[in-house]
Amino acid sequence: MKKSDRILNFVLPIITVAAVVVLWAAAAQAVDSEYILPTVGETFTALLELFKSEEFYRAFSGTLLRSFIAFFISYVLAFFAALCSYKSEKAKRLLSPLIVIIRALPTIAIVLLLIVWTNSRVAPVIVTMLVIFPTLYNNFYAALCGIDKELNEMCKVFGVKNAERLKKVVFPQIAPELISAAGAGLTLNLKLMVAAEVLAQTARSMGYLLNTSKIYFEIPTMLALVLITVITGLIIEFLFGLWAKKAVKK
Amino acid sequence: MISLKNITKRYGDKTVFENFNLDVQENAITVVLGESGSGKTTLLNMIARLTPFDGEITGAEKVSMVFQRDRLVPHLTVKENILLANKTADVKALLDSANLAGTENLYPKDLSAGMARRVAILRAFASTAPLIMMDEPLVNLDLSLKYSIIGQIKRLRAESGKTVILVSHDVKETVMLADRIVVIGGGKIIYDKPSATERALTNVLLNNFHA
Repeated sequence: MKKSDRILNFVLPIITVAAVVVLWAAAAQAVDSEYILPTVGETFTALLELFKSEEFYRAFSGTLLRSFIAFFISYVLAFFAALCSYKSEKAKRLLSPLIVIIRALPTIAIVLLLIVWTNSRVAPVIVTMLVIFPTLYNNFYAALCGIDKELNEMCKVFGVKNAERLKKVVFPQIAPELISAAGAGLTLNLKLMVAAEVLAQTARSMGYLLNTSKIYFEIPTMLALVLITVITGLIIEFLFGLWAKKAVKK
Repeated sequence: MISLKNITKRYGDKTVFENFNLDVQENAITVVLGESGSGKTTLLNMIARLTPFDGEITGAEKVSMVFQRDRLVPHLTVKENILLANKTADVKALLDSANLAGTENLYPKDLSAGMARRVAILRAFASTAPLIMMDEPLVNLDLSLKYSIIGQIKRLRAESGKTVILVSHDVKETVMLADRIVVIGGGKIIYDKPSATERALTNVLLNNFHA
């Protein structure tokens, strides 16, 4: 990559973020009401208040933990489902309608139903699992289809054992896709989890804090919570992006 | 002796081989010459059990192969690619013998076409398999590189004492490489002799395919 491209890659996101902040500041000044659109300063004050509160850390860690659990289960299931589809046309045909149905599920309705069927902690986990499953499945299936069949034949001819073939030939080919899918999936997962927690009123969760802030009309706190969710998602995606790049270089 | 007995291979309605028989002499290079679509690659794929067929192939239980495209694993180094065929191979000695010393830790993308082809050939010879099959190993190489690789194949074959079945569509390469020449066409053996001149071989092809 050229030096000028590297500089642009660094500078352009900063310009974009700065533009959003300037717009926000201008809009907040125009509205001039903390209860409709708080200023940047009011939001950052609320952010600092959140960082001082023990309740926030309990909620944040609870949401993150549930996100990771939902993501991990969905990731493993989607990978095995994609593997089955890749290996067998029949399995692919069997899974195909299921994927379409899962993708078409109305998220909010499912959260409400799951609250009735399970409880407020389990419902967001199941719903986020269901929502990211089709995306992960499609990513994994595409990655598996991208495996070089000629290299598989080569391994067969040279009698390369299955474990070694998977480790040295197959897995490195799909690793970048698996890692970047993990990054994007986790970010989406986190957003969905917060939304589901709001509906499910999950105790010790970001969603619960958001809902409480809404009830008490604490708009700066609500914006601060949204900001934290966005930044956490960006950090996750950035870290996984770096990891994926490293995997591609290898 | 490697024997192909009553081999029949069909792709849909198209019959490539019907009751095809061939005995391959050990410790020699047998070149199978044929035009495009004559079934040369299919023949190798059947021996390597990469494609199903009817009939019997004996004496080729363990094989190694130089593919038409090098099929080096892009994310493995030259050394790791060779070790894939045989974990105990003396990679350094092999590379030294092919004037590729110092390339152990390079990746396939860092190699020229000629170097990559040499590595693919070395990988095939590194394998413990007594039979090596080569699918047009000289295709898309310039003349000087072709001669150099012909020399490499003949030397490695002589040193290893392995059996080589090589398929080609090039008369000149065939004459230079072969201890035995088998010309195939229409699913049959048209010509089978220990050697031939370029002219004689060209005549065989002209008479059988372009008369």
